[in-house]
Amino acid sequence: MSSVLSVDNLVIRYRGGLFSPRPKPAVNGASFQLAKGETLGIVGESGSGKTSLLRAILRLLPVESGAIELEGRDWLALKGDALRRARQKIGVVSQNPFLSLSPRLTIAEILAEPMLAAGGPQSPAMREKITGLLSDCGLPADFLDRRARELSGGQAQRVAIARALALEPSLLILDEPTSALDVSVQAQILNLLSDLKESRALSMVFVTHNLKVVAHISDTLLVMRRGDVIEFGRTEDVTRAPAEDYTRELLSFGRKAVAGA
Amino acid sequence: MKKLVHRLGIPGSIALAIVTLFVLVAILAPWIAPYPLQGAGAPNVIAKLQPPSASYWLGTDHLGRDILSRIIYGTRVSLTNGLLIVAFSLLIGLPVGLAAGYFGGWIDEALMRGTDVFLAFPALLLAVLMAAALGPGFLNSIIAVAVTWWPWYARLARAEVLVLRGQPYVEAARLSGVSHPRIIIRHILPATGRPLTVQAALDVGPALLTAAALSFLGLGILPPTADWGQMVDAGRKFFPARWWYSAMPGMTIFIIALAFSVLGDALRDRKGGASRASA
Amino acid sequence: MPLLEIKNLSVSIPTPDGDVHAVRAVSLDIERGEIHGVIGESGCGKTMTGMAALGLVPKGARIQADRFHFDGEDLRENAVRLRGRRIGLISQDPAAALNPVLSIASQMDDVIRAHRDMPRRARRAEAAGLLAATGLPDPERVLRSYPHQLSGGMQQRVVIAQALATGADFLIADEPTTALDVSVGAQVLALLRKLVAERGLTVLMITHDMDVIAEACDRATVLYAGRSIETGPVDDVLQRPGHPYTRALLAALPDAAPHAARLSAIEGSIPAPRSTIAGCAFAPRCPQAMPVCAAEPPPERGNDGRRWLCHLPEGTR
Repeated sequence: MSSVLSVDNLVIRYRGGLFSPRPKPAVNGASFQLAKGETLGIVGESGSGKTSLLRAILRLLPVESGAIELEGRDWLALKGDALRRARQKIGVVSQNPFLSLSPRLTIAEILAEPMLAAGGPQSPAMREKITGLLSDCGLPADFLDRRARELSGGQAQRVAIARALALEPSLLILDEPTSALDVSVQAQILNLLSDLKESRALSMVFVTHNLKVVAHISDTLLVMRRGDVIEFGRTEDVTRAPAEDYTRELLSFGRKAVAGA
Repeated sequence: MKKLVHRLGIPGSIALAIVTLFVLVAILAPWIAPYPLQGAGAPNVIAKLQPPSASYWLGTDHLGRDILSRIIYGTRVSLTNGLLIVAFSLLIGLPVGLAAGYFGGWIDEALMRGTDVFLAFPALLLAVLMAAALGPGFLNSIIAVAVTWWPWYARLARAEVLVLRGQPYVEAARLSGVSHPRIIIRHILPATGRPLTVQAALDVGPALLTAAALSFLGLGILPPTADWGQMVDAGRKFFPARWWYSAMPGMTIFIIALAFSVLGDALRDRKGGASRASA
Repeated sequence: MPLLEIKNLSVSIPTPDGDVHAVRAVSLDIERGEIHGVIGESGCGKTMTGMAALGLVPKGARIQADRFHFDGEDLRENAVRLRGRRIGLISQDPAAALNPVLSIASQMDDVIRAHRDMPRRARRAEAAGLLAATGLPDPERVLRSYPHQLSGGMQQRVVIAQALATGADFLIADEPTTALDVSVGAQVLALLRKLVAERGLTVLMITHDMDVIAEACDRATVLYAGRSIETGPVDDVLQRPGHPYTRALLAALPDAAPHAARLSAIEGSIPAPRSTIAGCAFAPRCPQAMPVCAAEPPPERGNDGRRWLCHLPEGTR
């Protein structure tokens, strides 16, 4: 199986002040691979380094050492316009859809934006493609001319997912995509992601603080704590026999809620 | 109408009415001025320095011209002055601020240090220097004031952009490969619009005031074109005996500057219309 | 007699577009010494119920109830007096509840001074003692700190210590762990349990998180569209839910389904907050709805302390 994303011994360190001692790395030698069509769950609490890792993969943060390969290419070597174009191979969905969707644009304009950026001409065919995307994400075409503030949280997150898929990315990165949503809406979004994974053979990186949410959907699981990767393996193995007490603690929180349902 | 009053408040609505009135006066000057020819500069020596009366409501100047007509014609000059100064300043300051805030790094450093140079001089002194160097005249006085004005817009625009640049929706656009110019035009510029229009509205008053000051110092509009600042200056020689000569245009400057200032405040505080995402 | 007794509470807020029914009919009995969870999704009225008990409803809001009593006193008249004396609030964001420019010592001192007549030195010792009671190591160092020098979990402990300092015996905790990491949140919940056991506190826990209910509460009440639709001991509510909505909510949890299987999401959306509801509020989304559900208010099922509102006869699923 070929890997979509491969990270090798990645170290990220923020600059300290002029006279302060060199800070501990935010990510301390992370290594993992993501196979095509699979989902990797990255779990960690605040300060674990999961956000730094994510931002480094998106090239929003410089890395100190290590390597990242995307579809076999040296991802850290890309610069300028080449980087801008290559980034279109990655779709991103963030936590709060109301912040990540421009308040001034209609849904149609928001979905057209990546396509226009990739050089697609404004055409009836594009409108058709946008409608298709939206319906793949479970929204009818009459949402096209609305604005984000007229939508519910779940609907807005569907739009954000549709936008992330607009350029048919080889990798979809989800940063706490359900943390701002109610439980019943979270279930809808998780179902949508499973469907998309199947129908489009999507590879996904799902970052969250909630181990139980991601354990449901991921094939492999990576647990981070204070910059270190403390657990990495197949989801079944990690959830059945966690190597660390910390992971066990995250899994057991509120366990009673599951039993009877 | 009622909605407008609700959104701007009562003082703001009055200020808006005054500003609108002045704009109308400026446009309709030749038709509403009692003595259009004198307004445009023709002397009328038989009626020199007359106090306010039924035929000359605000009195006459040292060439016998009706002061009301002169003020009405001066409205054209003053408003254009104020608006053009603000427009020129926006034209320079906005792109500088956008570029500095959006790209950051050495571009930001270079642009902002350049801006600081202009801010280091007292504004009026710099304007006087510029006007003296360029020579008097309508366009020159506008350029002279705009040179001291644009750094404020550059700073304001930069501050707004710094906030916007970190917004997830701007980052999302960047990650989906949207080019920098397009991000600036589609996402950054529209959102900086509101604070900058407020600032611009607030500034028309002071801008027109500074232009009037330049005219007062003989560095602005040249006679015979009517200009409030220049009228106040000309009337100074006859003050206080012929007080109306300076006082009438002076009052006018006061009223319009105050109206713009109140209107700007009202625009800043206006109710409703705020987008949800800015919360 | 329950410590907090709410029967048919409604809170409506007049707006130019009609009344918003934030709370429609909530009934809640909270016994002394229990942690009672109130759970529901956004817009269900759980926070407004808590705010009504604190007398913190928006200006112009109308509160109606058959009974709305705390320890025998009518909350409609006495909420403001009881707040900060017997009833304390622990909010979601501890950073916002603390003043960033004052040291913890002076903020603790303000509260203690307002409630107890003590010399300065004794107040300081009292503050240190309360901080120690919330499980903060090295209370003296915490007293010298400013809020930004403390982690979120430590800040939340300081807020709890402040509530204890007022002498409150009833705490309303509104999503107290939502802003915290899971492991830190678990510690804060454990602390609340300990305080309930040791000091006889009573806690109303407002949350959207089933895990928090399971972890910390003795009894729970489920809210939907401003109504309490089910109440009972936590084990019963979570493992033998009576109301179809409670069942659906539990089934929507990702750990309820086998790995990678589809989750059972709830179709449709909650009723608009300005609408009037004739029958059961959940009827339009309920998989087991019958014609009667939309027309008539559902009857009460179950028995003492274990009740739910549903037209379906007991025992049917």
